[in-house]
Amino acid sequence: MKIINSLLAWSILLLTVLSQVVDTEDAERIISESGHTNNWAVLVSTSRFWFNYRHIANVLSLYRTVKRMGIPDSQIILMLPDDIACNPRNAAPGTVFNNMNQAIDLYGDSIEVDYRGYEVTVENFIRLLTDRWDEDHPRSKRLLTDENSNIFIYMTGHGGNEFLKFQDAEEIGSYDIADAFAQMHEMKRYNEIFFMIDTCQANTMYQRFYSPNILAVGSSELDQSSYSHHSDLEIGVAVIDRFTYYTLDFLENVEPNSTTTIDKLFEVYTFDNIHSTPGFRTDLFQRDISTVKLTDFFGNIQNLIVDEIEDDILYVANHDESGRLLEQVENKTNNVAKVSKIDFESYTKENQVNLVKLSPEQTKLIGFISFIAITGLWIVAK
Amino acid sequence: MTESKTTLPRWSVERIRIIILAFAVTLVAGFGYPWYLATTTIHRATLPVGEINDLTTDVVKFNIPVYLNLSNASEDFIHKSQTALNTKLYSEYPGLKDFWSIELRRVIDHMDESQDYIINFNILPDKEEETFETVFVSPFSKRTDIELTNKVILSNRVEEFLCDTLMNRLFKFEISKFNDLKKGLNTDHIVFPYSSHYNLVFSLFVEDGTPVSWQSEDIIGLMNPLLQQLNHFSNFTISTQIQYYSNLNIPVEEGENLVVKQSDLSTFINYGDWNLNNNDINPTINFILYFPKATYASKSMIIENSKTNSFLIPQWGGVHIFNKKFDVYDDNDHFVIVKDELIPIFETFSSQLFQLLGLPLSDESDITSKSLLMRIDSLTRLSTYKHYTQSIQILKSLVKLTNELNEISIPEITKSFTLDALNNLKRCKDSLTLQQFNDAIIQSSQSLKNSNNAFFEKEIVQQVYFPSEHKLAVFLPLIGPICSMLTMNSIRQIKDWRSKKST
Repeated sequence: MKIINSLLAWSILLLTVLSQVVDTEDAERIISESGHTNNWAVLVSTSRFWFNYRHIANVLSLYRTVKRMGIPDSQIILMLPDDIACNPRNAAPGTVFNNMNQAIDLYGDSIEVDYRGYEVTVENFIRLLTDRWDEDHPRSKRLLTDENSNIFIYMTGHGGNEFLKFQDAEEIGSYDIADAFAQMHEMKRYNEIFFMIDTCQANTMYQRFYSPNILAVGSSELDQSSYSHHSDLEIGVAVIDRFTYYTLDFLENVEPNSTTTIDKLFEVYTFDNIHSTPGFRTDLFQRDISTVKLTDFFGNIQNLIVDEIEDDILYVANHDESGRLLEQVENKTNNVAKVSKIDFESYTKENQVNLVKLSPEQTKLIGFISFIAITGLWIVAK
Repeated sequence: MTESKTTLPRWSVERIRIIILAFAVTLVAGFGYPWYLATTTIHRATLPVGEINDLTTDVVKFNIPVYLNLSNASEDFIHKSQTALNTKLYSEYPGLKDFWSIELRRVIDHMDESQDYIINFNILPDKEEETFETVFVSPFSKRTDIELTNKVILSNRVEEFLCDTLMNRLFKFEISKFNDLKKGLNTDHIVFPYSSHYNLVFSLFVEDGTPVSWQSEDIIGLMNPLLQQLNHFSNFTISTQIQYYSNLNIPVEEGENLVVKQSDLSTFINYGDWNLNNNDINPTINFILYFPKATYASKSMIIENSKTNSFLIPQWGGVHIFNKKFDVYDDNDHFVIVKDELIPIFETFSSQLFQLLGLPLSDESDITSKSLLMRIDSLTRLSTYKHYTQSIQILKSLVKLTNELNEISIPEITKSFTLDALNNLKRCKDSLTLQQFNDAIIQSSQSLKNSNNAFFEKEIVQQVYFPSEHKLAVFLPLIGPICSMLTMNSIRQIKDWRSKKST
C-alpha cells in the first residue's frame, strides 16, 4: 500500500514537473519579439448624429482600452465627429455606455479628442497617416511615429464595398488607405500596423493593402452588414456594434503587462457572436499571430534600462583641469523667459504715416482739381 | 415660320444647325477642354531625378587629424606610425577602408587642445625600479599624454602603442559604430530621433499634496556648460515643473522599505493621470524626480536591484525615485530638496541625456575615453553620416513614390526643397574634405530637414481615389443637357441630308 502511495505521489510529482516544463516551453514559444519601442493608436469614428451613437461608443471602447493599457494620450489620436455624450437627447448626459447595464462609462473623466466635428475628414485622416501638415500643426495632433513604432488603427462608421463614408459628405476608398500605408512604409513611419475595422462590408477595406507588416481584421464580408449588439431603451438607440462589443469584452480582462496573444482575441470573433463573417489578413504580417502579444499593439511595454549610469559628466562639464569651477556662462535658455520690450513708438508712427505716398499739400491739390473736374462734368451734363 | 423663311432666306435651318454645332465644338475644344484640363490635372514639378539617383554615401569620407607632439623624433616616425595604424585598422575593420581614417600630423605651434586632438609623448627617465608605460586621456580637453619607457623605445614598439591608444581608447566607440553603420546595422532603440531643437523638462512629481520645493535654478546652471558644448548639434530649452498628487498605478511591496519590481517599471509612469503633455512643436525629453509620500514615514521607495534608484525609458526620458534623508523630522511640513541632494540626481540625468542623444558612456570597466569633447566630436561625425544617409534615403523615397503614385502632385516647393537638400549635401561633403566637422553636421542636418520638408510638404496629399462611376456622376449634369441637344441636332441634320439625297 505504502509503495503504491509513494508511486502515486511520485507520478503526481513527475506530472506536475512535466506540465510545468510544458508551460515554460509554451511561454517561450508563444512570445515573439516585435522589436518596437513605442505604441501609437489611431482611433477613428466617421459618423455623426445621435442615431449613430453606437459608432462613437465603438471608438470610445477602444480609446478606453488603449488608455487603460498604458498608451499615453499624446500617442493616441482620437477622431470623434460628434459629441454624443453632451447631445441633448442623451438621457444620461456626459456619458457614453457600451451596454444597457451602464456599467462602463466609456466617456470617462479625462478624454482628449484630437480631431472633432467637421475636422474628421478624409483629407485630415490621410494627412495624419502621411504626416503632411503645416509647420505649426500641434505635436499632440500628429502621428509622430518612426521605424520603431507599432500602430493600432481602428475605424468604424458606415461602409460599403471598398469604401468608408466620412460624415455623409465624402468617402475614403480602400486604395487611399493602401497608398497611405505604402507612403508610411516608404518613410519608415511604422514597424508594424494592426488595422481593425468595424463597418458593413469591412473586409473589403483591407484587400488593397500591399505594404509589409500589416495585420488586418474586419467585422464583415462583402455584402454583409455589421450588426449592432443591442439597444438601450432608455437611451433609445443601439449602443454598440457586436464586433466591438466582444472586442471590448475580451480586452477588459487583459492586464497592462499581460502576455495574452492576439489569436486569443481573434477566437472571440465567431459567427455566433458577431452575426457576420469576420475577416483576417495575415499574409503581409511577418510573424505568426499565435506568437504576437496583444500588448505589442495595445500596451506600452518597453524595455527599460536600469542603472547604466556614468558619473561625473556634470563635474567634467563644470570644472577645468585643476579642479576649479568654471565661470557660469550666461545661457541662451535663460533669456527665453525674459519678455522683450514692445516698440510702441513704431506703433504711433504707423498711425501717422499716410497710406498713399503723398504729402498733405499734394493731396489737397488733387482733391481740389477733382472737385473742379466733377463740378464741370455736372454742369456739362446739365 | 414661312414668313421668317422668306424674310431671312440666308438663315436656313441647316445653316443654324451647323452654326450651333460649330459653336458647340469650338466652345468645347477652345474653352471647355482646356478648362477641364486646367482644373483636373495634377501639377507635377520635375524633380532632379537623375541627380538624386546618382547620390551615394560612398563619397563621404572622414579623415581625422591627430597631432603628435614629438620632441625630437624623426619625421619617419609619423610615417611609420601611419602605415602601422592603417594596416591594423583596416585588417580589423575592412569596412572602414576608404571611408574613415586618422591622419597623423606633427604638432604645430599654438595649438588649442580643446580644438584638436593632441598627443604628448613623455619619456620617463631610467630608474632602478620598474616603470610602466601609461596613457592619460584628459577628460577636460582633447589632449592625451603618453608616457614611455626607454625599453619600449628601444624595442621600436612605440607605433604599436600609439595605434592601440588611438583605436582602443580615443576612437573605440566611433570605430565600432561606424563599422555597424557601414554594415547597415543600427540597433539604437534608445536614441531620440534627431531634431534641431529639444525641450528638456525636469519635473518633480510629489505623491501627495505636501509642499515640496527644489533648488532647480542652481542645478540647471550646472547643466548649461554641458548643453553649450552640444550647440552645433542641437539647441535645448530647459523648463521645470512641480506636480502634486501623482499617484502610482503599480503594486508596491510594502515592508521595511517600499520595493518597486523591475517588471512593473514599464508601467511606473502613470500616463493617464500625470499631466505630462507638452504641446510644443519640438520633441520633449522628460526627466522625472519622483518624491514618494513614504518619505514622511522615514521609509524609502527603492527599485528592485538598482544602485542608483533610477531608470531610463528609451526615446522618452529618465526617472529617478528620490528618498529624502532626515536627521531630525521637522514639523514645518515643507520640504526643500537642496542643491547638494540634487547634484547626484542630475549626474544621473546627464548620463541619461547622453544615452538619449546617442553619446557614448564610459564606466570604470570600460576604457572608452571620458573626455566630453572627444565624445561630442564622435557624436558629431556619426550624426553627420547618419543624417547624410537618411537625407539620401528620403530623397530616393520621394522619387520612388512619385514614380509609383501617378495621381500624386509634386508642388514647386518640393522641388526647391529638394534642390536645397542636394546643395546641403554637396556642402557637407566639402566641409568633410576640409575636416570641418562642425560645419559638416550643420549642413547634413540642414539637408535632412530640407529633404524632410520636401517629402512631407503639405500639398503632396494623394488625390483622393475616385471610382469612374463617381466621375460620371459628377460630370453627367454638365455634359448631359449639352450632349442631348447636340445629338438631337445632328440626328435631324443627318435625316434632312438623307431625305434631300433621296429626292
